[in-house]
Amino acid sequence: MDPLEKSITRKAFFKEVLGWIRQGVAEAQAEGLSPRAESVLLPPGARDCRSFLSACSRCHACVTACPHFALRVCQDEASPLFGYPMIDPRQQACYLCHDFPCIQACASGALGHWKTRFKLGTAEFDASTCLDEQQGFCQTCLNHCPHMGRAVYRDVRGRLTIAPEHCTGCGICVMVCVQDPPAIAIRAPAVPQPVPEDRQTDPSFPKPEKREA
Amino acid sequence: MPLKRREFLKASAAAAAAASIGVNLIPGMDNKLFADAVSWEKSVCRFCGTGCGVMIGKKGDKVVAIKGDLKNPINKGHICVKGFFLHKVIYAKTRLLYPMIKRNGKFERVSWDEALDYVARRFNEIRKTDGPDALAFYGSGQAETEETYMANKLFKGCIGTNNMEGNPRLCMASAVGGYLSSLGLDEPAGTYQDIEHAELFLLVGSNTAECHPIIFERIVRHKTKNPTVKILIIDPRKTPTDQVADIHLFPKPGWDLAVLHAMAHVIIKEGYADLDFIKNHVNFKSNDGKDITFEAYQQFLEDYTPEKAEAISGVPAGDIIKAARMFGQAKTAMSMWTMGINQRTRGVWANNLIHNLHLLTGKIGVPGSDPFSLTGQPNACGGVREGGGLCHLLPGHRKVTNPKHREEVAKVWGVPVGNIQPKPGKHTIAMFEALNEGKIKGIYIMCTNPAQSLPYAQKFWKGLKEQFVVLAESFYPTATSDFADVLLPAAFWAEKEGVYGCTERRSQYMPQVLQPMGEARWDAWILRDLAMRMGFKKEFEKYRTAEDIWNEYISLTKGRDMDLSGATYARLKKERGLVWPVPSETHPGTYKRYTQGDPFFDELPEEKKKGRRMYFYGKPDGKAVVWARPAKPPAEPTDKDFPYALTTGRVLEHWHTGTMTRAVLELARAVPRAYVEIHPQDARKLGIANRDTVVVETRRGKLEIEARVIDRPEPGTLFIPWHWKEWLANLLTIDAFDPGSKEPEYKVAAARIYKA
Ligand code: SF4
Repeated sequence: MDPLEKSITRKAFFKEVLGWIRQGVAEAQAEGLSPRAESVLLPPGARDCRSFLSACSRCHACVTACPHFALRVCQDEASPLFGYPMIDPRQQACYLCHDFPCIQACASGALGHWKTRFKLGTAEFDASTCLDEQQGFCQTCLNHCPHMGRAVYRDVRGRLTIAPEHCTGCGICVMVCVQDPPAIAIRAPAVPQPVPEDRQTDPSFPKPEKREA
Repeated sequence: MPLKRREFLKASAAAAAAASIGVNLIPGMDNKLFADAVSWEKSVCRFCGTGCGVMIGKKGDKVVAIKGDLKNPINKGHICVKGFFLHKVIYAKTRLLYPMIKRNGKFERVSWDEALDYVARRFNEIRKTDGPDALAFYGSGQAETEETYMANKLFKGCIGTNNMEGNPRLCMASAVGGYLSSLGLDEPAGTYQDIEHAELFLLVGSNTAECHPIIFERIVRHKTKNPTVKILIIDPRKTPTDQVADIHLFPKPGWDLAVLHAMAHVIIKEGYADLDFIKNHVNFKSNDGKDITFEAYQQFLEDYTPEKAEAISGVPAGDIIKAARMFGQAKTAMSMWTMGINQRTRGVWANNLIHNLHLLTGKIGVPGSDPFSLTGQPNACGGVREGGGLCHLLPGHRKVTNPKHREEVAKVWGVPVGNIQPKPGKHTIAMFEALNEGKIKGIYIMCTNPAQSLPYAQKFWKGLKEQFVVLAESFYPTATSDFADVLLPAAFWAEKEGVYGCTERRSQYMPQVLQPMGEARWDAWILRDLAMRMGFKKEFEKYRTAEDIWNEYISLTKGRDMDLSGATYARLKKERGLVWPVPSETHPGTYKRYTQGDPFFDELPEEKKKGRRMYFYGKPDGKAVVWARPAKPPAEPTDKDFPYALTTGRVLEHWHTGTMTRAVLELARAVPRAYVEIHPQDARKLGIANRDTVVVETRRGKLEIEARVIDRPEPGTLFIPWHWKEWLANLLTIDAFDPGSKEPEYKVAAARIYKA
């Protein structure tokens, strides 16, 4: 059988085409509004930039697998990630699916198994642009955080605060921030840290079964 | 020094943010852009009922920024995201710029003269052939008081129909019913100042953090300063308001009346009732309005032990007892509620039960204690409740059924008293049903979007399609403009002057700082010109300025419980609003009603006041009423076929039908589309994953929508925000309404959900 035919199922094909369209729409919407966020994230399950770059075969199977179109191919020639899959949370954040189709799709081992999955980073406020710090009242990031009240909460002084031990770095806060450029960014951890097991987007989903490689 | 792109962007954004709120954040940077070029003028936020004061920053002839008004006592310089982007709404691409008439199914641009002549001719035809009751008006709690006043005069006074309603029927009517039946007069006794004195907050059916953000911020600030302050939430859904909650009760949607009764039960049983207060200030009444004794009321409450309430509502009895004790033990308590209580088939009763808790414990009339209903819209209190913009009301908290009231109003309006019908007109749902049936043939809709906001919306599209619909709006297209025959462009906020009256009885003035965009005109002038073309020249030609209208209106409030006669434009322009009653131009406004400091209380003869700290002068004997209302279920409880309870609501970033906030890119990107929240347990059972497309179905309609699997609603409950016309939550809601207040039950419908 023709290898091309085998590798692209109808569903995957539509998904990809739809992905282009949606990406186009998102980009058009963001035009004149958002400079692309400077901070892009590695896909979930990547250990760190170095080992990811050396292991990734750039087959983009994870990009095709991502149901939310969060994983994209990096188009920025100046970036070390050029041509590699990445997440631009300002465009589309990661939802940390409970079954991680991206990790499952990865054949090269660049994206690790769920047990050794690493968190994408930790959110950090930029107090100089955050509306809530400027006599405003805004908690869009908190309202949309899947771990509202845990990963981001109002501390005893009523200020928005991030709990690094609960934040997964999914980037939903960056995606929804009303400031431009966003007043919140995801910093990748210097030393890779595993995601706490109970801190997926959907906290009460059962942990996925261990899958055979 | 060359700046890197990122640094530059950061710096400029910071500067813009800093400048727009009036601080210079970056030391050493002189802020040329804003510092001298921008002139600031005080106004009021266009969005929610909080009524925050804002400063409009103008540069040249353009509004460039909005910041909080530091001198405003409501928000003290703070504003929420919606308010922050208000200036971008003015320049939205979707502004309606010139009058249009639909011909052969297409809108064609016409001149103002042509449009108004056409509407006047059609309305007069209808009036002649089918009588005045074939015409109707549907207004808004976002229209200014002056606008509602003009519409009121035209429809009730001149055309002679009481078919004059407004969207506050869909949001505040039950609160009105609750205040009238419990305390005797509409609107809260306290103000926002109570927040800083309260020891406990009872938030029922209110997602304050998203719907009244600045009130929430005040509560949070108060709590952070005083950590002993307790916050008690009763809501079927976990919301962002929960961050500060001490205890949260999750009743099944629509079954919370039993919880409130059980709290009253525990409060009396455990001796938290203030027997002195009860003796002197409270009557007890059974559901049919008969006087009963305190003992009989206690007997009635025996049916609502915490255990029985648990069986009915699903809230653990232990939690109810804990909540009741917290309420009883706190020295002062403030209750706040909104649509979760009002938009119910038993909304008035639910309101009564909240008042009961306060009356039983005497937590009313002292700083920090008040049953305080939060109003949704910025001028629902001012324009519609006080201005009389509903089918049974006349300006100044008057009623059409009262001959004396009709006479007083007719005199000021300069119309024969016979013009004002003594019978209330059709309430909102009845009105749109009459439109469906062809009994109403022409309707004037102002500043609202019923095709999207009515419950079971698709049912009412038929009438809107078939009858003659005139829509005065600032935006186009909206869901309703699809059905309109004539579109009249209305001036938007900041392009017109007028008064907004917010939740705490405070009336605030808004200046005109811009020329209306395109050919837009102020709604009040559109109505005036239309009235003159319809043949009411004599009655309307005298209005030359907004102040003329306001002065006439406040003259009508003289001596009423909501006396605004001291609140002249001259004063309102200087001050940050006035809290009525303001009976004279030197009166500072009233902090607490029914008690010392309220001019009407102070005027009372001594023998009435004897032994009393409060006198509810809306009731014949000055005593408030504790009602023994039975706990009734929602109109459509869940069942085997439709096992989920669907509730609808709002998000922080958007406003109502989204015509304004969705035009602001920043807000649109924060919440670009609707979703249905479903609990992970339910989702797992149904095989629904986060962001799957699902179908939510009720007996009335179906909606394809994105799923958000999240632990915010309780299992068995679904939640959809209703701001999008593309994902119209009101295809699903039920049009059953409260028999007392006629407010529909948006908050509970039985639904099912499955994967698309
Ligand atoms: S809280 Fe309400 S009134 Fe205040 S800025 Fe926000 S939307 Fe406007």
